[in-house]
Amino acid sequence: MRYYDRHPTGTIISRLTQDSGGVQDFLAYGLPWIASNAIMLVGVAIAVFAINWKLALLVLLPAPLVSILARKLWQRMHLAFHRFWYRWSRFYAISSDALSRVKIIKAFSQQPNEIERFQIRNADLFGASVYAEQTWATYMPVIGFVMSSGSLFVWYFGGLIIVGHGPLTIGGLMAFLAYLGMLYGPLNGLTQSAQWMSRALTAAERIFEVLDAEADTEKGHGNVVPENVRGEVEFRDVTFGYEKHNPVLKEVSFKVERGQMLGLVGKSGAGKTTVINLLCRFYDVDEGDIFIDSVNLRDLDLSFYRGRLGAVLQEPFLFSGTVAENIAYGKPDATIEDIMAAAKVANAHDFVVNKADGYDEQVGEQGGRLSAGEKQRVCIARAILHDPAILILDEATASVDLETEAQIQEAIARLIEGRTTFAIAHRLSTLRNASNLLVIDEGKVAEFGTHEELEEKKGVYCRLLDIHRKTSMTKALSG
Amino acid sequence: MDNPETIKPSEPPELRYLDPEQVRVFRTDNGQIRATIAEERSIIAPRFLRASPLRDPDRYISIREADANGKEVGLLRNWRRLDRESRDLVQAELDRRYMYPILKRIVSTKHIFHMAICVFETDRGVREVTLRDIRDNVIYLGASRILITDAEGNRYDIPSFDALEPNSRAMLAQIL
Repeated sequence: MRYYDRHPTGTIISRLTQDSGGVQDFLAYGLPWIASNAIMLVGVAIAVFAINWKLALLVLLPAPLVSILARKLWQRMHLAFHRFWYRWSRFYAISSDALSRVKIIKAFSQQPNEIERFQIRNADLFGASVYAEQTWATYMPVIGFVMSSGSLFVWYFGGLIIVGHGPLTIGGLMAFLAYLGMLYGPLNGLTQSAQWMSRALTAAERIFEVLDAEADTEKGHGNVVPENVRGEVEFRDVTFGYEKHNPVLKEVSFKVERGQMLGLVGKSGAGKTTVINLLCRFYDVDEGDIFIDSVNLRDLDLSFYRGRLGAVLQEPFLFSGTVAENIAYGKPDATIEDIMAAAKVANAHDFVVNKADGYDEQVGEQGGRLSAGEKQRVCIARAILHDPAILILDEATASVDLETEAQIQEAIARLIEGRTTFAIAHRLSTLRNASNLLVIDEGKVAEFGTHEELEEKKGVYCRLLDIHRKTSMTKALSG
Repeated sequence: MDNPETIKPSEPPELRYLDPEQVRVFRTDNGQIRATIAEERSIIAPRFLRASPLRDPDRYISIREADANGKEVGLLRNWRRLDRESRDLVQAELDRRYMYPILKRIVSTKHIFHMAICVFETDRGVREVTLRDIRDNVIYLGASRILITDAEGNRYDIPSFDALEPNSRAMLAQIL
C-alpha cells in the first residue's frame, strides 16, 4: 500500500503501458536486429583477417577511442532516458488526473490552471526529449568518424605495401576495402542499437521497480485458516505511522465483541481511517498486535481473512460492467437469484428491474450511469451478497433525496445486523445505534463507551457532539 | 441530513417467486389486461419486466403493479409454463417492451466525423440509423451476439456476427 500511496495512478499506468511496450519492442525487434548485425560482423571480420591480418589490425586502431566515446554516450543516454521516462510518467499522471476529474475542474472553473499545469509538464517532457536527441546527435557523428578513420590507415599502409611490391595486390586491397565497408555497416548498427538498448534497459529498470516493490504486509504473512471468522476484534497497544517517525496511532487498545457495532469518532485526521486500514491489513502495525478471534492478524492467511471482510464506503465505487456483475463482485459464482435476493434486501431490486436492461444494465465508468443513491444501494447489495463477518462502514454523506436516504439507511441497518461493524460515524443515528463508540483524539484513545456513557462524561465526545448538533441545526435552518 | 431517530432494521424483504400454475393473465371484457395470483390478488394492467433481458430473457419475469410505484407482485422463474392464453399475452407485452429489430444485412455505411450513418435491413424493414460513440453503445453477448444502440436509443440485435453475409460483416467490423 505504501508504494501506491507514494506513486500516482498515472505513473503506475505509464509503467504498465509505455515501459512494458518499450521492453517488448526491444525484445521483439531489437534483439534479432542486434543478433543479425553481430553475426554479419563476425563473418566479415574473419574475411578481412584472412586477406591481410596486418591491415586488419590497423582497422582496430581507433577502437580504444571509440570505446571511450561509446561508454560516455551510453552513460549520458541512460541518464537522459531516465529523465525522459520520469517526465513522461509525470506528464501522464497529470493528464489522467485531469481527465478523470473533468467535472470538478469545470465546476471550480480551473481550466486555465489545469492548462498551465499541462503546459509546464509538456514543456518538461519536451526538454527531456530534446536533451536525449541532442546528446545522441552530438556523440554519434564523432563516434562514426573516429570509427571509419581506420580505413584511412588501410589506404595509406595498403598503398605502401603495393608500391613496395609487398604481399598485396591492387585487387586484394580493393577486396579488403569492400569488406571493410561491409564491416562498418553492422558496426555502426551496433553502436546505434545503444540508444535502443539504453531506452529498453531504462524501461526494464522501472518495470522491475514495480515488480520488486515488496508488499508491506508480506512480512509475517501467516497461513492460519480458521474454520470461520466470528468477528471478535481486539487492538492491543497498537502504534502505527505511515512514516515510522511520525505515528498516527499511539498505543491504541480496544476490543469489539462479535456482532457489535463500533462507531469511530474523532476530528478529521484523528486516525479513524488508519484504524480501518490496519484492520484490513493494508499496513502492518509498527508496535502492538491486532487479534481476530484471539488469533494474531499477522498469523492469519491474508486472502482468507480479507475474504471475510466487507466494506461500504462513503464514495460508492462501481466497476465498468453490468449491475449484476457489480453486485456479484465479491462472489463471482453467485447465481442471478442470489444477486436479486441481495439487491432486494438492499432496496435495489425495484430500481434495477425498472432499468431498460435490468440486471444487465451497464453502469458505465465508475458507475456514471447510475445516480448516487442507486450506486450506494448497489454497493450495499454487493456487501450483503459477500456476507462478511466484519463490516467496514464509512457512511454515505452524498446528497440524496429524503426517500432515497431512508431506503439507504434501512438497507444499511439490515446489512449490519449480526455483523461486527466498524463505522466511521457521521450521523447521530449511527452514534446512537453503535454498541460502543471509540473516540480518537490525536492518535490516542480519548474515550470508549456507549453513547449514553460518553454523554455523561462530558468530555471530548460531548464537545464533538455539540459541534455536530450545531452544524446540523445551521444546515437545517439554512435550508 | 441527520436523522436523530434510531433506524431499526426491518424484517429483510424476500423475493416472491410465483408458481406459474397459480398465475393467470387474461383480457377483461373492456380489453384491459388483468393478472390474478391464485385467489389472493388481482392486478389491473400489470407490467411485465424482464429482470435480465440480455443474459436470461426467458426467465425471471417481474410482475408489477401499474401505478407509479410499480410495486413487484412476484417473479416468474419460467413464464413459458403459464397457460396458453396467459403466455401469449405475456409474450406480446414483453415483445412490445423489449423490441429489438434483428439486423439481417447492412446495406450501406457512411462516416461523417465521429458518427456513422448506416442503412440497416432488419426483420422489421429497412431503416437509416445514426450511430454515435459506437464503443459505448455496443454490447457483446456470448460468442458472437451483438446489440447496437443508435443515437435515438433504438436497439438492434445481431444474433450472430458470423452468420451475417460477408459484405455486412466487413462493414460492421469497420464501424466497430
